[in-house]
Formats: sequence, structure tokens, C-alpha cells
Amino acid sequence: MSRILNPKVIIAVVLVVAVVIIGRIVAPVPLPGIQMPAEMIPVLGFRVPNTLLHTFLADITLLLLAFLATRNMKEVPEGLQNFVEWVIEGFYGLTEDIAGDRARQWFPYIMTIFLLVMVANWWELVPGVDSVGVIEPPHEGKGYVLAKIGPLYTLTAEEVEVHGEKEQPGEMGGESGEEKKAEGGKEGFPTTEDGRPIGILVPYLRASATDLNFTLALALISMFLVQYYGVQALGLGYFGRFINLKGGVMGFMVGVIETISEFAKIISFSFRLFGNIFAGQVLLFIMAFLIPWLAPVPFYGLEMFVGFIQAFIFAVLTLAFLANAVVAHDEHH
Amino acid sequence: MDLQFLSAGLAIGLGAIGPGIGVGLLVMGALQAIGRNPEAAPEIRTNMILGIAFAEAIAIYALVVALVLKFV
Amino acid sequence: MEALKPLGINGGFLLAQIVNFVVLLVLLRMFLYRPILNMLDQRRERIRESLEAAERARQEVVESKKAYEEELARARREAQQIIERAREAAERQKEEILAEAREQARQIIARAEEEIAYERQQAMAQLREEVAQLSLEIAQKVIGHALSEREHRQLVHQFLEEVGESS
Repeated sequence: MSRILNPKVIIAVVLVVAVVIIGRIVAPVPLPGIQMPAEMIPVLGFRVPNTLLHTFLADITLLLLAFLATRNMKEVPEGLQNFVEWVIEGFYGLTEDIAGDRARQWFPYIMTIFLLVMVANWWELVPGVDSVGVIEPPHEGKGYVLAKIGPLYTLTAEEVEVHGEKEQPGEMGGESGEEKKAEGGKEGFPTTEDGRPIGILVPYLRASATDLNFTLALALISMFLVQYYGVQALGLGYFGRFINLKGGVMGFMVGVIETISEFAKIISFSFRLFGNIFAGQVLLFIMAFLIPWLAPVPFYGLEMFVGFIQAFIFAVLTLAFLANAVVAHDEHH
Repeated sequence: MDLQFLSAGLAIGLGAIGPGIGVGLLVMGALQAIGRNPEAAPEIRTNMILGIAFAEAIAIYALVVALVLKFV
Repeated sequence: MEALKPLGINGGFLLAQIVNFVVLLVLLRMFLYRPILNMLDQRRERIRESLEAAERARQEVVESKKAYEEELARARREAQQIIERAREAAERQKEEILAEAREQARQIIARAEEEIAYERQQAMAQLREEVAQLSLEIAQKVIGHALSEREHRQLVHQFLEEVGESS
């Protein structure tokens, strides 16, 4: 008991609670609109989904890393080269454990999936992603009052319903905690009764894996590789596991189930990654909305872990399916 | 409209029960195995993660249904 | 396909993501995996080589040590032989010198004996002569010239021979 009543502990608890309450009052954060399809961002006249931009960001990060790590390779590695070699060697060892002789052949796919997914997931946690973007007029009847900071606009936590011409200002006021900057003028924006514009934020960047196109693309590539290497290793005999006429009715049914599960794999691949990262994103939004200060910190740690684990699962499952595909199916019986 | 949200919530809520139990059983088995044979920990851990991924797939189908109910 | 729209699935963006992945795969393969894996292979090779070289060097050291020890043993054996031979030679020389000395001594003794014998003989002969002379003179003095000198002499000689035989 005395340990808990220690003045230091009491002061710390009081401070934390004070910070949480002050953060809630002083810097409320708006809850961003949550939608599944990626938002479109105008880039050079095209409307590009922000998740695709995020993927490009991850690509550039990886290529930069590759360039810096291999710029002047030394026999005795140091710094970045050492780190990258450690990562690659570790993953190569894992690939070898599962794939054996084919490790060299499959390693680039597996490693690229892992790196791309993980870097894209981790970029989501960088401040600015999901919170810096273009401000657009609200289109689903809900928006936030805008405030001007210098040449930029920011969303306030003041939420208003927009029903055609009717507007109802919300109860809450004040500046937003996270800075939500955007260019974009006020023309064409609905306004509150006192003339302040109302808008919503469309972020420039949004985690790639919160877009089904990204996860489905990876899932399709993975399953295509599985089929390709299956056929390459076993010839037409590979399809024997799907159309099984030798095993009687039972065998045929197993073949049908095998076929269905092959498509189910695509769905579980894409939705596993999508679901985890999308849910993580929503979790972070809501934590920041409910308790803006301190509370989201542990969830950032959790999301980092989830981002890594999902990338790992995607890569290792692909590898496991590949290893399974090149083994003749009869050997299982 | 309200029923749609209710059904989405129920879909993922009920759908998560089974995979939750499954993942629990998987991790229990893996941890017991690691406790009994700590040298095999890395191999067991990798297989455990793969197994969890498969169990989780069921929850993902529920998630898909919930998402379809909510957004479609 | 219309049902997929609310989920955000769009053929064009899907294709864009696939193309993006393929391009990234090719680039990373070229600029990351190949150099790093080559480097790892190279390093593995290098380590294997240096381990082998170390093993060879160790082997060489062992061999040269063995050769050195063999050399040392041979030198020691040779030294031993040389000493042995020297000792033998000295022994032999000693024997020779001793034998020679013994021989010389023997010769000296022999010569001395010979001389002594000769002297004695000489002295005997002289003595005999003188005795003959003396006895002849004595006999002459005693009996005059009763007997011819030749008969005397013969007599004395006879007597002396008898004496000589009995002595």
C-alpha cells in the first residue's frame, strides 16, 4: 500500500490525469471520416488514390534504403549495410528453412512482399500521414468547421451536420490537436451561420493496406506465384489435386474443396492484411479522438507490432503455400 | 439502416468468438510445447504464427461479411 | 463487379498496385538482394578460405616443427656417432701406443738379455782361457816340462770339458 501511496507515484498519476483532461479540453481532435475506398487526390491533373501515393512512398523508402545500403559495400559491413545485411540474412535463413533448395528462387518475392508491406504499414504511424491533405467540401452531410492558420486551413474539432442549405453548429470549439493543414480555398464550401467554412480533410497519404486494391494485388501475385511454381514443378499433374478422379466421390469432393480453398486463400490473404491495418487505423483515430494526449502512445506501439506481424504472416504464408505447391499431392497420403 | 449496423456488429462479434477460442488453444499448445522443449522455440513460434493466421482467416470472413453489410 | 465498388476495389488501381509491385520487385532484386546476397556469399567464401588457410598454416607449422625436430634428432645422433667414433679411435690409438710401448720394452729387455748372455759367454770364454792358461802355467811349474805342450793342453782341455760338463 505504502508503495502506491508514495508521493512520487501520486504526483505522477495526478499529472497524467491532468494532461489527459487538459488535452481533451485544450486540443480536441476531430474524428476523420472512415471509409473503405481510397480518397482521390489530384496530382498533375490525374486523380490518384492516396493509398497508391502511400505505396509509392514506401517504394521510394525501400529504394533509397537499398541505394544507401549498397552504395559502397564493404567486406566488413558497418552501419546501414550491416543492418540491411542482418535483415536479409535473417529472412534468407527463414526462407531456406521452409523452401530448402528453392530459397534462392523465391527469396526475392517473399522479401519484397515483407519489406513493402512492413514499410507501408510503418509509414502509417508517421505523423502527417492521414492528417495532412486537401480540404474538400463535405459530401455526406457531415463536416468540420475550418480555421485559417496563415495561408493554410486547419480542421477544428467542431463537427457540424450539413443538410443542403441548413447547418447546425456543434457544441465544441477550439483548435484541433493534430494540425490538419491544407491548401484549397473557401469557394464552394458551405458555411456556418457566422460565415465560417465547413469542410472535410482528404489526406495526401493513407496506409496502403487500408485499400483493398493493395492487399488484393499482393494476394493475387502470391497465389499466381503458387500456381506458377506448382505447374513448373509438377507439370499438369499439379492440377491433379483440384480435379481428383482417382479417389472416388470422396477424392473428388476433396478436390473441389481444395479448389475453393485456393480462392479462399486470396480472400483471406487480402482481407487479413486489410482488416488488421484498417482496424488499426480506426483504433488510432478513435483513441486520438477520445483522449488526444498520451493515450494513443501504447497503441502506436501495438500498431508497429501488428504492422510487422502482418507483413511477416503475408510473406511466410506465401512461402508455405509455395513450398506446399511444389510437393506432389499424393505424398500426403 | 439500423438493422444493417446491428447485423454487421453481430457478424463480426459472433464470428470472432470461434477464432478467438482457436487462437487461444493454438497459443496454449505452442507455449506448452515451448515450455517442454525450449530449444525448439523458434520453429514452434513460426508454426504457431502460421496456425494463428489460419485460425484468423475465419474471423476475416466474418469481417468481410460485416464490411459488406455496413458499406454495400 | 459493381458489388466490389463500395469496398474500393477498382480494376485500374488494382493493376497499378500489381505493376508497382512488379517494378519494385525487379528494382530491389537488382539493387538490393543481388548485391547483398552476393556479398554474403562472397564473405562466406572468404571466411571458408581463410579458415582453410589457417588450417593449412597450422598444418605447415606442425610439419615444419616435425621436420625441425627430426633434423635436431639426426644432428644429435650424428654428434653421438662422431663422439663414439672419436672415442673408438682414441681407444684404438691408445691400444696401439700401449702395444708398441710393450713391444719396445720387450725388445729392449731382449736385447739387454742378449747382451748380458753374450757378455757372460764372453766372460766365460775369457775365464776359461785364463784358467787354462793359469793351470797350464801351474802344471808347468809343478811338473816342469814333463809333458809336451800339446799334451798338456789336451789334458787341460779334457779336464776343463769334464768340469764344464759337470758344472
